[in-house]
This record gives sequence, structure tokens and C-alpha cells, in this order.
Amino acid sequence: MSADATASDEHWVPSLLQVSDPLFPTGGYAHSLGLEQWIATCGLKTSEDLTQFFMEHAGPALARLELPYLRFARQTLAKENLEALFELEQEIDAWKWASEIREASISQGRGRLRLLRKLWNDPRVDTYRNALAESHVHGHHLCVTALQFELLKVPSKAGLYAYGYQSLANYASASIKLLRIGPESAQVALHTGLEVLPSWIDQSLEIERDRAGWFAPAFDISCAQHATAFSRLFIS
Amino acid sequence: MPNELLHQLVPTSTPAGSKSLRPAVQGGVRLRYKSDASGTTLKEQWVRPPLHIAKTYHDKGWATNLLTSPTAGLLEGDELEIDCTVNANAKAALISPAACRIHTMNDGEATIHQHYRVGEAAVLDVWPAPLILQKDSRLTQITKVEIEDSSTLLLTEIVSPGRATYGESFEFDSWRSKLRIYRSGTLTAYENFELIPANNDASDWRSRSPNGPYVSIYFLTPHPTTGLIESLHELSTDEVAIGASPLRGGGLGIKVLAKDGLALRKSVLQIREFLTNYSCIDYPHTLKRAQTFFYFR
Repeated sequence: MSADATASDEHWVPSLLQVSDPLFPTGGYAHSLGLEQWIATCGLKTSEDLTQFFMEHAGPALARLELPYLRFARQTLAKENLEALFELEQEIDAWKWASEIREASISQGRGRLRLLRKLWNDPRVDTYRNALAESHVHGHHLCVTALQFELLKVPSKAGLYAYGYQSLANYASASIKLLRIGPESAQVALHTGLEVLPSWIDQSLEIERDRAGWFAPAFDISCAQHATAFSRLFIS
Repeated sequence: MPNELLHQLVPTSTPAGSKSLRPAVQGGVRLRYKSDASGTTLKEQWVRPPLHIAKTYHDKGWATNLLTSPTAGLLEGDELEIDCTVNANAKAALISPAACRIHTMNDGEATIHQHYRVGEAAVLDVWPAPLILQKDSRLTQITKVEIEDSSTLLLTEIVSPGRATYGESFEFDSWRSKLRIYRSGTLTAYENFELIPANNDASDWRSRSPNGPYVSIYFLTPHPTTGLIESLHELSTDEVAIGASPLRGGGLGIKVLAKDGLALRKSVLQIREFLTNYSCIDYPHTLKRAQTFFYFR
């Protein structure tokens, strides 16, 4: 493989960095994705508590539910099977039990879609946007992210890493406002989570559609209670 | 009743490698309720052990049936199939007043298939006592619900992580569940998971309820439910955590983690009273007489 070919193969890297950066305005900063109420409920205080949250909640949910669905969405997009994508989105919408989490996903997904349309002129984005306008899809973040990885030609596993990083980083970012920890402590927790991310990704690759799912009733209850909490910083 | 279900529901031999003394059974119940001049009538019924169906109670236009099992639970290899159709305008309740144990197993698993269809302007209340996941048990549940926009559903499921009196807690091998609720053909709720305590899958459940039961309630109604959520959350106490969330297209999903059986009974009755009062449907007093697990302890 020539140096030129290698460079060509890596053209997706700058684009991936751009869409994964917190500067990419999807509105993620306004959501704690359940962490705010979980902290209030469980009394989390330290970066070690945040690490434990990654190990017992965020990581397993990525491995068993979100990353497999990201993979399924990419597979349907690669096959240009729109009907299958609509069905997949409906399933995602139905397993997002807590409405705040469901709406946060749609809000971030639609924000990302808007930017994709503005920055990359690709007919697949228009097709998805038309499906959204006709209410065939909801605009969930997982599906829009899959679309983004497809059009940027991000290798499959790199896409899973990027999505996993973004999920953990979003929690770490929110934690700085919710816990009495500084950015460095949040980075320590994030670093610990990212060390385990490869194993969560490997686990996710083994999970077939019929087996994809995660059971977290306490977290779900907490997410639901956030909607009626007396005070809150984040939308979700 | 020549249909696929009948052919499936036959006793089978003891699973290979099993040390169970009784052969596994494939049993179930198939019911169809219809609205007529006298209210709701159970028009079709078919039952095969280990399930038993008692005489139908008729009250306030409802038909209420008690499902019981003389074996008090499911053993290795057992399969139960519950297939229930409530035709347009009919009102039906299915009650199981005794806890259903999923017994200790050497190998294999027990399986419960449920399929409920609720027609236009019909009402279905499914209110069982808890499933108890005993030590070394394995259970797979597959539930499908089809409901119309105009109909009402109150679907309750209660799972206990072991026999509290034996100090048993999260010693079961696995609990797998797949639930799909379709409203007017659209998938509105989907749960799919496998819980293996030995893999630390139950840490979330145990964080709020170290030894207590889990309750899932789906309340689908033609009426808006947004105003209910805050009041349901206010029922939470130190002993019970309650979360209620609106489903896409209307209705509520409610999850409860209780400290113990007493807290469970109290909270389920509170939630049900709240929902039934709100539903604008006249629920029969028979339900209270029938559901002895909750009313006569």
C-alpha cells in the first residue's frame, strides 16, 4: 500500500474528529441523559462514583443495546434498505422507555442531521430527511449517527469507538456541573471508562438483533422521575 | 379447536439430562371474550394443564377469570401459552391470585408465551400475582400485545428475585423477557433483555431494591395521561421507587422497585386505584374479591 493510498484511506479521520467534537452543535451539552437524577437518587459524589456509573450502567448499556443498534443501523444503510431502517428506528423509539431520554435522542439526532445536510452534500441525508418529514422516522441520534458514519466512510469499529467515546464524554461533561469534581477528575473517570471501551465494543459485536437489550429498572425510574423533579440543570 | 396452538400444547417427555421427577408439560389457555346484551361473555375457552380456569365472574359488564396452576409454578422444560382476545367493546380481566414459582432446575428452562389482542373500545386488565424466580431457575417470557387507539389496557407484571422466606435473593440463573406492545399496528413499547445475576446484570435492580420485587405496569388508554405522572411519582417512599413515563402515542409505562412484599402490595394497589379511577371505566368490585394475593393477606 502506497503512502498516498494510506492517506486517502484516512480521509475520514478529520471529519470524524469534527463530528465527535463537543464543538459540533447537536445540543448534547443540555442533556445529562439520566445522570442528573441518578446522582440525586444514589448520592454520587466523587470521580470514583462516576467511574462506577460507567462500569455498571453506561458501559453495559453501550455493549448490550446502543452499539449493537448502531451496527444494525449501519448495516441497513449500507444495504440501502429504507424499510428496514424505518422498522429499526421504530424499535429504538419503543425501547427508549423514559420519554426524556427518547426526546433527548431525537433532539440530538435532528441537530446532527441539520449539520450533516449543511456540511456534506449527500443524497442519503436528503432521503433520510424526507423520511423524517413524512414521519417514517423520528430522527433518533443512533440512526443519524449511523448515517453520518456511512457518508463519511468511517470504518465500522472506528464508528463504534467514536460513539462510545461521545456517550461517556457526554456524561463526564455533565458530571462537572453535577458533582463537586473538577475537569481533571472527570477526565480520570473518562479515561478509566475508555480503557474498558474496547471490551464493550467486542461484546457488542457478538450481539444479534434478537438479543440486543438491557434491563435497568432503577435507572429508568430515575430518568422518569427527572421529568417531574423540583429543580434540575439539564433537560434530561 | 383445530389450530396451531392446540397441536403445540401437549405433554412432553422429561428433558434430556433432567433429574425432574415429572415430565415437562406444554399447557396453556386460549380465551375469547365478546360483548353482548348481557355485558361480556367468554365465548371460547380452551385450557390445558398445568393451567386451570375457574368459573367466570360477571359484574358491571365485565368478565373476570381466575387462572390458577395446581403445580404452583413451572418446572424445567415447562411451556405455558396464554392467548387472549377481547373483542370490540368487551371488558375482561385475567387474574392469577397465587404466586407462580419458577422452580429450581438442573438444566433447560421454563417458557411463558403470552399474546393479548384488545379490540376497538375494549378493556383488558391482566393482573397476576408475582412470578418468583427460585434458585437456579431459568425463565423465558415472550409477550405480545395488540391494542387499538380506542381500547384500554392495564397490564401488570411482578417479578420477585427469590423466595424471601428462605433468604433467597438473585440466585436464579437467568430471566429473559421480550415484550412488544403494538398500538393500532405501531410498536409503542419494546423490552428485550436477559438478566443473569452471576454476570452482575442485576446491579441496577439491586441498587434500589437489594432483595425486593420489580413491577412493570403498562396503562394504555384513549385519554391523555400527562397529568398523572407527577401524582404517581409522589407515591414513591423510602420503601418503594416509582417511575412513570409517557409512551409514544399515549398511555404510560410504570416501573416500580419495592423493598419487600408488603411495600409491593401497598404500592401496586395505590397505583391501580389511581389508574382505574382515572380511566373513566367502571371497574368491578369482583376484581378485589378475585385478587386474593393483594386483598386478603
